[in-house]
Amino acid sequence: MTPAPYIPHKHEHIPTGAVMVIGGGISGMQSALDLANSGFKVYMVEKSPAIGGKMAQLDKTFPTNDCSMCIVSPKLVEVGRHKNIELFTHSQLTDLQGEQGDFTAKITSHARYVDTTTCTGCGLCEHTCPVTYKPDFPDVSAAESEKPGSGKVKFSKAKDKRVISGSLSPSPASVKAWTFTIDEEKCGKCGLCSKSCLQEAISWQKGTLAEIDQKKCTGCGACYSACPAKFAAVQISNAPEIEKSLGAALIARSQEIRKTVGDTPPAQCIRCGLCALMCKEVMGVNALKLHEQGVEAGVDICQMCGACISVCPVDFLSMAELSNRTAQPLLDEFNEGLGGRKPVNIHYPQAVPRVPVIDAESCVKLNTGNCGICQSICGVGAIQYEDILTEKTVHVGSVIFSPGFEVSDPKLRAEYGYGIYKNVVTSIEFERLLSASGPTSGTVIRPGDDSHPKKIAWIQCVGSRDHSCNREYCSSVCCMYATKEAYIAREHDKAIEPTIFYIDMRSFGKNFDDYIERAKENKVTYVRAMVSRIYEDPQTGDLELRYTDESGQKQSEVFDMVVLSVGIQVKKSSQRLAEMLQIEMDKYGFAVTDTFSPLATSRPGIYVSGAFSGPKDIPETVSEASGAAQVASAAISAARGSLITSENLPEEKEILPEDELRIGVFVCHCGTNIASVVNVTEVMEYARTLPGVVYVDKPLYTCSQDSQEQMRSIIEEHNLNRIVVSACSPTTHEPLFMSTMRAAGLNKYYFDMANIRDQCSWVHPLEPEKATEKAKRLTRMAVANASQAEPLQGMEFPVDTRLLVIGGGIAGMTAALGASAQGCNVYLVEKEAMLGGNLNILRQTTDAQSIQRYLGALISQVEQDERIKVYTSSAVVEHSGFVGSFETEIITPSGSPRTLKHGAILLATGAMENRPNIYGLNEEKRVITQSDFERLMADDPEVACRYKNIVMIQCAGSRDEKHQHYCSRVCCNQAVKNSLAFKELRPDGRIDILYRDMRTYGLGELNYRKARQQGVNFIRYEPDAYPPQCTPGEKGVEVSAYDPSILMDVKLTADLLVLSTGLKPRETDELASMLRCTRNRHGFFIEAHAKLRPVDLPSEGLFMAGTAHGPKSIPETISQAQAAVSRALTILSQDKLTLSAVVSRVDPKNCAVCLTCVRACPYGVPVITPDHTAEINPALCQGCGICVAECPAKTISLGRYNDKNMFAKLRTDKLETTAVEEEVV
Amino acid sequence: MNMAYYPGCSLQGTARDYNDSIHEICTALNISLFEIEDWNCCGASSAHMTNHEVAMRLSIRNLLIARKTKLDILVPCSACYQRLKAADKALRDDPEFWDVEEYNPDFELVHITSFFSRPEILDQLSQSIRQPIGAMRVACYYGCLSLRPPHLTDAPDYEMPNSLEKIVSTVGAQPISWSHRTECCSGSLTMTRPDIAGKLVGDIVAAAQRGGATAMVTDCPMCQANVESRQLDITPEGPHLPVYYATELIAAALKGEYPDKQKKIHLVPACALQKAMVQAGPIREETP
Repeated sequence: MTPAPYIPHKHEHIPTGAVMVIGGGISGMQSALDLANSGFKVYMVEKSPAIGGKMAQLDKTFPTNDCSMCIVSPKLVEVGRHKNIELFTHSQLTDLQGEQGDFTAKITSHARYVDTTTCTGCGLCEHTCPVTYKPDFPDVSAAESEKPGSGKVKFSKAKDKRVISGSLSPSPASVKAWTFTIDEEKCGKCGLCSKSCLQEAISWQKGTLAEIDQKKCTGCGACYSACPAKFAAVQISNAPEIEKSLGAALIARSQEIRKTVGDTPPAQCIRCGLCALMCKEVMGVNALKLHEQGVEAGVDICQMCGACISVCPVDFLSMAELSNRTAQPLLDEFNEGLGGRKPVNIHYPQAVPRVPVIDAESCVKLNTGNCGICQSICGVGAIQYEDILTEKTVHVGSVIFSPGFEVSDPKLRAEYGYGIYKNVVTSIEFERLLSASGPTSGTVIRPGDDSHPKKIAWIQCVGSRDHSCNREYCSSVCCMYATKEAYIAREHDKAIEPTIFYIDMRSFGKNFDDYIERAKENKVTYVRAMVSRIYEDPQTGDLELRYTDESGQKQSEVFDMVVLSVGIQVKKSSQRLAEMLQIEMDKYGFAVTDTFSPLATSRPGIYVSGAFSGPKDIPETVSEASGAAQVASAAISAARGSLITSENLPEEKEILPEDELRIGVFVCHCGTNIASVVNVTEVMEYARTLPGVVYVDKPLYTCSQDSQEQMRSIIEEHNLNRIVVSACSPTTHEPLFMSTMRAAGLNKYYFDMANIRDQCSWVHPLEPEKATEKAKRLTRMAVANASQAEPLQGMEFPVDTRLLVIGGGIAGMTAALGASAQGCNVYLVEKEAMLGGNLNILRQTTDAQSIQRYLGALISQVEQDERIKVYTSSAVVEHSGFVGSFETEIITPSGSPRTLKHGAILLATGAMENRPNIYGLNEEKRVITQSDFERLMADDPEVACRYKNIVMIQCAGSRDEKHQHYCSRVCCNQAVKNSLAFKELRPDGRIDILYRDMRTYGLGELNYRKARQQGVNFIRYEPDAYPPQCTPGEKGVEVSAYDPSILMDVKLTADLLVLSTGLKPRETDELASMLRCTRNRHGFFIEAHAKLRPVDLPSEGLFMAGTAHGPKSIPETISQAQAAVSRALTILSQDKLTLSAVVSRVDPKNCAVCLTCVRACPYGVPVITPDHTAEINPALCQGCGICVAECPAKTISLGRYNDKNMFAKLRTDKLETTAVEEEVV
Repeated sequence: MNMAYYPGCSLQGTARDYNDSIHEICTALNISLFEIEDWNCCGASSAHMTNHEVAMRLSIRNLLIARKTKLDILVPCSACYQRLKAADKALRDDPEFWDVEEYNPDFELVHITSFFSRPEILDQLSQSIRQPIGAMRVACYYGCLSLRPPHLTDAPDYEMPNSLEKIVSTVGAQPISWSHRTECCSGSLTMTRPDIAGKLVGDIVAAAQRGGATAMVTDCPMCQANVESRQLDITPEGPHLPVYYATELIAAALKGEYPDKQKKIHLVPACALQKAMVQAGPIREETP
C-alpha cells in the first residue's frame, strides 16, 4: 500500500516542545543544533564519554580532503555550549513510554567518577595515573577483608621470585633524593630497617634505636617499606608533592630523575627504589624489592598494573619479566586500540565535554581501595570515587534515533589474517594512523615493526557485498574512503605506493569520479580483482597477496602493509535499544523505513537518521539529520519555543579610544598540528614582548570547550580589551572565538586571528625555525591589527516567516508541506503547468510501490493546504532583498507580475532524464531510455511482453567527456529495478545489462543480487578500449561488446535496447545569476560545504533540495527537502536577525557620484540616492571590499579592513625596531 | 568415554602408525574406541571424482552402520571426515532421496584434531604427560579437507584455525606463526601431476622453514605422506622437514620417549622429536 504523504499528528493538547536525540555523532549533533536553533529543547544522549562519534575519529574527508576534526570541532563546541541542548554523555536511554508528542524517557548516566561541573579538563589525572595495563585484581572478598585504603594492609607473600638483574651503582647523585629519618619516639627497635638497607646506612644494635647515616643513604626507601605498620617510624622529608600523597610524590620524583637522564635512559636499574615503593606503599601489593643485582620481582603476586614501569625513570622494567601471567595493555578505543590509555582518561583531545572518565574495571582505587593518586593531585577536587549511576526522567515530544554504526568484523574474512598478521590493519585503524592527533601523530608506520611502509594495499568489500558472511549489502563509503586514505597516505609520505583492489568502483556521489581521477594522477593504482588470500613472511612481516588480474592471469604481489576496507554494520547495542524502542529493523539491523517517508520509523514519533537506516556517507547523514529534525519538530511545532531558554549576553563593555590597550594573545598548539613544527612557547614569549600585550597563553587546543571557558574568565580576570588567537583558519574558527568574546562582554570585533597552521606549520613542515619566525611575524601583524580594531554593531531587523519554494517537483512539494506543517506560509512556484516534475515520467519505486499514486496524493495535499500558495506556469523574473527579508517577482500565466515577500528561499529546480543522440536513441524506435521502458511496462504491459530479449547499456552518455562527465547515481538501481519488473512480467525474457561499474550502493545491492539470481546477465564493458557497438538489424538491434571477465567478444540481438542515459539539471542560467548562486561545470548548484552544509547555498537564507544539487533517488530527495526546510527554519523561526557588521559605508562628504562603486560591485548593491551620493544597503552588502579598493575618492570604508588596520599590519616594524634591523642584516 | 571409530583405508595402510598412536593415546586417556563394524571405503580419492552417487552411497553405508552404535564417531583422516560429513548432511537433508526411511541420529562426526583440542581433553593431556616435548619449533599444517568447504565441515575457523597449535603447545612443543597452514598439499594430484605436486609441496616446506620450523605437524594422512615424500624429489640433498602426526607428539609426551622404531617409518630423517625430548630433560617419574 502506498502510504499517504507525511501528515503531522494533530494534537488536542499542546505537545511537549522538546526532542530527544540519541547518539552524539555528526548526525545527532546536526539534528540537535537545527532543533535548538529553531525553538526546541534538546536532550542528547550519548553512550561514550564524549560526543563526536565516528567522524571525530576520521583523519580527512572525501572528496575535498578537509580535515575531519577541523570541520567537526566547531560543531562539537557549539553543541557543548548551546543553552538549549542538554548533554548526557556516558549515558543511555533505558526506558521510553508514551506516544508521539508526549513521551517520557528515562536516561541512565553511568558513574563517571569525575564531576563534570568542576573538572577543568586539564588532564593532570590522566597524565599522572601510573596504571597502563589491565590489572589482575585479587578476589573481591579477599580484598575486602583487608580493609582497603587503610594504608598498611596485610600483604600476600610471593612464592615465585625472579631477580631482574642489571644494576648500576645508586644514581644519579645529582638528583636530590628524599631524606629519610627515624622518629625516635616511634621506633620499635626491631632492626628490620637496618636489615633491609642494601647500603648499610642504618646502624642498629639489638634493643637500640636505629639511626640512618645520611651520607650513606641513597634514598631508596627500603627502610620505609620495611618498618612495620605498627611503628611507622621512618619519616620522609624533602619530598615535593608528598603533602598530596606518596604516589604523587613518587611520580614527581620520577619525572625529576627522568629530566636528568635525558632521552636515552640507561635501561639499567639506578637503585632509586621508586618501583618498590609504588608497588607496596601505593598499590598495596609488595611484589618488588631492591636486590643486590637489580630488582626482585614476586611474579606470582604481581597485580600487573604497570605502575612500577610507569614510575621507573630509566625504562628498566618490562611486564614480561615482572609477572608469570600475560598482561593485557589498556588500549585506547578512540585510537582503535593502536595506542595505550590509562584507567582515567579523556576520550580524545578535543572531546566535548572534556572531562575524563574512570574505567571501573581497571582502576586500582575502585577495585582494591589502594592508589588514589588522581584524587590527591586534582586541584579542583573533581575526582569522586563514590560516584554512582544516576537516572533522570525527561519529557519529550519526539525522538530522533541516530546511534550510528560500527565497522564490520575484519575476522569475517579470516583469509586476510587480521589479528594474526600484524601489518594487516582495518581502514578505521589506518585513519588513526593518518591522524595528526592519532597514536603515531600522523606518521604512517606499520604496527608490526614501526617501519615506514612503501607498498600498501587496500582490499575492498571486507564485510560488504559478501553472502558468505551475511553482509550482502554494499557499505557505500569504502571505495571513496579507501581512495582518500591512499591519497592522503601519499601526502604524508611520497614514497608510499598505494594499490586498491576492488570489485566495482562505486564513486557515485557528487564530484566523486573526479576525485578518483585525481587519485589516479597522484599514483594511486586501482586493480579490479578480489584478493584470495594473504601470506605473511614470518621473518619480514611482508605480505604476499594473490589474485587473478583482468587478463585472467594469477598474480602474486608483495606489500609492506594491507588495509582492509571494512564495511558498515549496526551495533548490537543499537539493535537492542531499537528493540526496546519498538522500531522495526531488517535482517541486518538497519531501520525499516518507507521510500516516501525515509526518516520515519515504524513507531510514530520516533525518527531515524544516519547509518542506522542504511550505510551512507557524511553529507547524506547530515542531510538526513536536518531532515529528521524537521519531521520530528513538525509533529510538535505547536510547542515551539515553549521550553527554551534564550541566551542572556552581558552588556558590551564600552572601550574608549584613549583606554589602555590590554591585548591577550593565545598561541595554539593545535595538538601537534602547529606545535610539531612551530615552537609555540617561543612564539608566545615573543608575543609577550609586543606593545599592548598584557596576557599570553598557549593552549593545547584553543578551540576546545574548556579552553574557551578559560578564555572567557581570563578576559574578565585580566580586563582584556583585545584578543588575538594565533591558530588555524578564521574561516572555520573565528566565529567561535568571537562568540566567546561577546559572552565575556567584549565587542567581538576587538579581535584578530593569525593563521599559523594552514599558512605556516602545514606548509613549512621541514623548516621549523623559519616557520617559528613566520609565526611570530603573523602574530605580530595580528596584534598590530587588533590594536587598531574598532567596535562594530550589526543591524537588527525582523524576519519574514514566509518561504519561497522554486520548483514543484517532489522536492519542492515535500518542502512546501514540511514548512506548512511548521506553521510557515509557503509560495510554491513551478515553471510547468503541472506539479510533479521528473516524477511524472516515473512509475515504480525500487521497492515496487506506485509512484503515480503517491504523486497524486502529494499534489492534492499541496493544493489543499491553506498555507501553501501554488503558482504553476510561473517563473521568477526578479529577486532582491536579503536573508529574512527577500522580495521576488514572478510572472504568472496571465502575464501579470507578482511580488512575493519572504524570509528564505528553497531552490528545488530538479533535473530531467538526459536524451543524448547515442546508440541510435531519438532515431531508432527500438532504442529507448530506462524511463521510457519503465512507463512502457507500467502503462502497457501487454506491449512490453511482446519483447523477449532486452539489452540495457549503462552510462549511455554518462561518465563520458563527450556527453555528461559525471555519474548519475540512480541509473544502476533503475536498470536493476526495471529488469526485475520485466522478469516478473515475462519470466522467460532475457535481459543483458552492459555496465562499467554496477553502482547499486547501500541496500540497493540486495536487488542487484536478486536480479543476478533471477538470471539477468551483467556484462562489463570498457568504454575506451571496447565501447559497445549497436547497429539496427532486421531481427533487432545488434549489440556487440567485449566482456573482459571472460576475455571474449559478446554478440547480442536486442528486441529492445534500453539506455541508462542519466539525469541532467534543468535549465537554470537566469535563475542562478538572479539569485547569485554558483553552479558546477555540469550545471548543478554548489552547496556551501560539501560535507557539513549539503543543503545550504553559499548565500545566506538560500537552501536547496533534490536533484538541483546532484542526481539522487526519491528517498534521498525527500530527506533533503525535509532537511532544507529544517535549515530554513533556523531563520524563519526567529523573530529578528542580526546582520554582519562588516559592511561598506559611504561617507557622502567626499562622494563625487562617479559610479565606480556601482559598476564595481559584483552584487549590484550600491545605488545613487536623490541626495546625490552613493549609498550601500548594509543588509545586502557582502563585505567583499571591492568598492572600497576602487573608490577614487577613498570615501568608502569597510569596518575591520580600514587603511589604518592595513597599515598597522604592514608597518609592524614601528612596533619593534630591533627585530627589523636584524632582519635587514 | 566411548567413541565410535572410523579409521579409513589410509590408517590401515600407509598411515598405520597414525592408527597405532591414536589407540595408544586413547588407552592412556581412558577413551574406548569402537571400530565401526564392517566399514568400507569413504568414497574419497577416485570414487567422488568418478561417480557422485557411488561416492555418496559408500559413505552412507558407513553412517547407517555407525548409527546403531549411537556414539559420536571419531574420524582421523581428513578426506574420510569430509566425505562422511557430506553424506551425513545429504542424508539429514533428504533421506528419502537416498532410499533411507528416516535419518536423524544424534551422533556427531568428530574430526580427530577438534576432538583432542577440546578443553577437557587438553586438561587431561597436560595432566598425563610424562615428559613435555621441549624446544621443538613446529609448523602446524592443516591442509584443506578437514576445514573446507565450511558448509560441509562445520569448521569454525576454516581460514585461520588454531586447534593443532593448542595441542602441540599442550604437549610442550612450540608452534610457529607461518603462512601456509591451510594450503592444499596437492595430495590428489601427487601421482597424476607430479609437477604441480612438487611446486605446492615446495612452497609449503619453504614457508615452514622460513618460519623457523624444525618439523611439521599434521593430522591428515595424505598430507603427511605427500609432503614428506615429495620433498625427496624437490630437494634430494635436503634439508628436509619431517612431518609428524600430532598424535605422534602426544603419544611421545605421554610415554616419555619417541621410539626408534617409530622414527624409521618416516621417509625423511625424523630425529627432531627425539632430540627435543632428550634436551627437555629427564622423564617425570610418576604421572600424577
